[in-house]
Amino acid sequence: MKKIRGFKIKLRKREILRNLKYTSRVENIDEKTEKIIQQQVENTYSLIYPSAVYDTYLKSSEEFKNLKDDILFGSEKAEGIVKDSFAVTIMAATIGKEIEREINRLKKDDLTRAFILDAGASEAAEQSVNFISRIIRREAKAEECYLSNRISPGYGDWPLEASRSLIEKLPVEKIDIKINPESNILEPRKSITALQGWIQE
Amino acid sequence: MNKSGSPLVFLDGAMGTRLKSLGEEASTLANLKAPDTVKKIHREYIKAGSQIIETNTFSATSVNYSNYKKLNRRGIRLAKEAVGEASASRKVKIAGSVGPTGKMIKPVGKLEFEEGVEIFKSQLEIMAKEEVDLIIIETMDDILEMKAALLAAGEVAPGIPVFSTMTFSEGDRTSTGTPPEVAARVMDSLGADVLGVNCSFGPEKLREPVKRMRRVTKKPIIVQANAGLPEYKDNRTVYSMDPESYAENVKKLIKEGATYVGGCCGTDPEFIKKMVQDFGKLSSEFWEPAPEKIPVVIASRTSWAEFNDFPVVIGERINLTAHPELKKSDEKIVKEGLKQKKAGADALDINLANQEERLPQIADKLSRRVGLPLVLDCQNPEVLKKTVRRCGGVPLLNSISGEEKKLENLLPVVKKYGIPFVGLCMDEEGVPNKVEKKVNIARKIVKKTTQAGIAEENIIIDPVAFALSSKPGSARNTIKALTEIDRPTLLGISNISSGLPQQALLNQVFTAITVYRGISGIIVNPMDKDLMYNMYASAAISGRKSSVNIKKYIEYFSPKGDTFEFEDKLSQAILEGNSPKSSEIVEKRLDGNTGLKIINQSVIPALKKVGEKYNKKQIFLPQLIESARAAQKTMDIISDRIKEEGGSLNKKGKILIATVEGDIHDIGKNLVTLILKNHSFKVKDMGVDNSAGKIVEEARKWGADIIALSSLMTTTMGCMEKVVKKLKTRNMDIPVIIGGAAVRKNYAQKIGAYYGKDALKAVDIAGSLLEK
Repeated sequence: MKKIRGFKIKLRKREILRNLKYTSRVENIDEKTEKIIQQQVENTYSLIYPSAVYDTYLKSSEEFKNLKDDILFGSEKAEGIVKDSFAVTIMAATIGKEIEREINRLKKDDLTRAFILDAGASEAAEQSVNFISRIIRREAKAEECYLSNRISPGYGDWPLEASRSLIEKLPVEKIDIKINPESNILEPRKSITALQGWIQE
Repeated sequence: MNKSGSPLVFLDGAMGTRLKSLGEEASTLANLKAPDTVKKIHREYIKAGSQIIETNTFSATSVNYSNYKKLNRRGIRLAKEAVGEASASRKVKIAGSVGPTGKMIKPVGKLEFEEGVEIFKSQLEIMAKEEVDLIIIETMDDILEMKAALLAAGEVAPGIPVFSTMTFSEGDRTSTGTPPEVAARVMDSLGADVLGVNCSFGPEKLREPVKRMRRVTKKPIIVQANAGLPEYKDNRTVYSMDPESYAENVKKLIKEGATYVGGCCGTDPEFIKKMVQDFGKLSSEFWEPAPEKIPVVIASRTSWAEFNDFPVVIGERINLTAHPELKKSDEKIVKEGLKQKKAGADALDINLANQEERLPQIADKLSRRVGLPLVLDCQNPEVLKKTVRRCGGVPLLNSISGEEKKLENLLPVVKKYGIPFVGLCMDEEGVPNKVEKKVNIARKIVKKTTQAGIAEENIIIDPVAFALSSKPGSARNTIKALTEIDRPTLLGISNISSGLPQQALLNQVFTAITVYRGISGIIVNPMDKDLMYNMYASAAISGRKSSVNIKKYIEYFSPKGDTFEFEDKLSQAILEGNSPKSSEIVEKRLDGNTGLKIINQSVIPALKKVGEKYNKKQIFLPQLIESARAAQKTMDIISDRIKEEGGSLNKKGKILIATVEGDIHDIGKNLVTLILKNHSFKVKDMGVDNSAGKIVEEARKWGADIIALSSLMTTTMGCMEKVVKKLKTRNMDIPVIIGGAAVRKNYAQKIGAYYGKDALKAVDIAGSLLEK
């Protein structure tokens, strides 16, 4: 198991704009909007604390065999990844609580800034798992493996319940992630759990 | 062409919705579970007059079913048995139906392109083995998925005719942004024998796509539309058209040039029968014939350019020899592409010098981020194949010279992928200076190309311009050759000025002259504004297609974008999202006007325009919210003033809004609340995490006219259904609008609620509900 706290990530402005429904058809971003977006991107950087935990299992290991059914939930997508893999990494990443507090504060009286900060936070969470993927890609490369697509519970046929199983297998308390036992919503809200397979070249 | 001499061919109608109406499951599994019903439907269509029937194999891919092989084989055999049993006097052909995999290909989805090709191959191999008469690839909305399917068909089922259709949404594009011209050219270039449209919103909305496809392909056009728009009534989906109105509308599509007609969702044998009856007597003069000549078209996934009377501007700046600073990163190249697009380029030339192996990756990034058609300056067939294969449009290969070896090397790529190319007036002896020699090489290229079975409309000729500094008299010959070559032409303009002072000036003048002489494409630096001015002016003066070219000139020099501006200052302030200004104006205006008058004259028109712009994607979320906030501040000021005067503002109706139990996301709901208030609804916001019981109780107590519910998670959506059920059991007739990231239209239909796709849609629905 590995834990990394407070790592640096880069936010892709293009993705933040996309989260805000920006398309090439938008005629122009007026100066005022541009300025608010810039401010909120900077705010995002100052309000996040990216942390993650992850663990890699050899598919043939007893440990993995024991946890396999708990996390896959019969999802064809997840099973497909595991089937082709030699090892599997499960991970959880978060950007912390502070940005959520600020979004909650803003959405009462400044919905525009709240939306932009929320879009920034989504991108930050995405980039936090991307960061972990990059690390394990290097680890995998050393073992002459490449990585499968990364999947997260709640997408495709992999149910959100799988998120709870992943959380239970990882020491998420070290990075302050919790899960709501009924709705399976992660707290802080901008947290992501995921699975990625190592495929032998 | 059928026996009567009419080119009209009748296909069948829907299988899925027909199965459902006969009480069976609308799926491929019916081949195993209800084979007799499937066969019965085939027979019904044959009896109605279908000349081609489709197998019930639409979704029988390895992605959807582990027993897909069996499902396909059974589907084909059932169709064959039906044809055998129907004893129709005419020959009925069997089309193997292939639908989307259900997984989107990168970049829209996550599936690798070649994985997509393999999935289609596994289905098509069975069809080839079972000897279907033809293959129909249908209901695609992603052009890359269509491409994967067509390539797969070419690779595992060569010799079997292929029909292909795409589905169009509002705005005459597929849901992933592809216009009809691009769809038609991609399908045509990859070997579809008949191509067109299916499914979509019903035949009346397909007129424009059919018309636009007809212009850019010589292949026959096929139409299989839905029976109008689907509606959800009494717990089931119904389609709005009957056989008469369907036939009436399809007739208009035939007039636009469609000759293969059938039906999709919601149609049944009666629809086919009606068309066979009505169209049998149509004279062949009735419909638009296939064009004799079509323009050379290049395309990205979302845009296209035609080598016609107005020159295509190809940006030259992604050239790593001329701009070595771009070698550093892909990002720098993308930025250079974006800059050229902004400056007015219609397409981008990519010349990666000695870094050719980066081409597939760079082409991919430019396609996704810039979205212009690409011109590939590359001579390596392997790299080209890799690039062209998964490119979301139709790129142009620049170039193939008249040298035998080059033609041999590159024409196979051109043929397999159907891409147009630039034939370079150069042969084993080098680049000729004489006009006659240039023209001869051009003829040789055209001859060799057509002999190789490649359509003539895929050839553009570059008569080559030398540097004036090395051959002072050569430019005149190049210009002369332009008028003598009977094909679209193209030139790299900047060659002319190399090694001389005031290079930009020479390029501008050369542009003006070549454009005047009718060149079809120029490779230039679009950031040189004077050069662009010269091009537009010269095209306008040339007198070719004068009305079009002058219109383009006027458009180019008109202010860009939607320049709409309200005369009313308050409306304009709201449109700009300027709250301080709108507040200031309304305060002043209230002194001489009634609040209601201000709302009707200024606020409502502004909100209407904001909604229109957001729907057209001309503004995005932050701009929408800022306008909504400015409108709200205005409404609050008006409402306060009316209250001070002892009155109250009339509200349209009472809407109770809540995020459902277990869900704590409310940012989207807050936006809906704001926009509903903007539109004069009285809104009560219950906040997050509300149980069904609590919501229904509050609706009763408060006397809500409408309940609006939001849910971001699939796990919490169930609460919405509980609310609808509880209302029913308590006999409370309150309509429910649902929305949020997890919610889809079919879920709303299933639970008996209205689907508010976004805040503006929720306003529309609420308005029409209250009108009832």
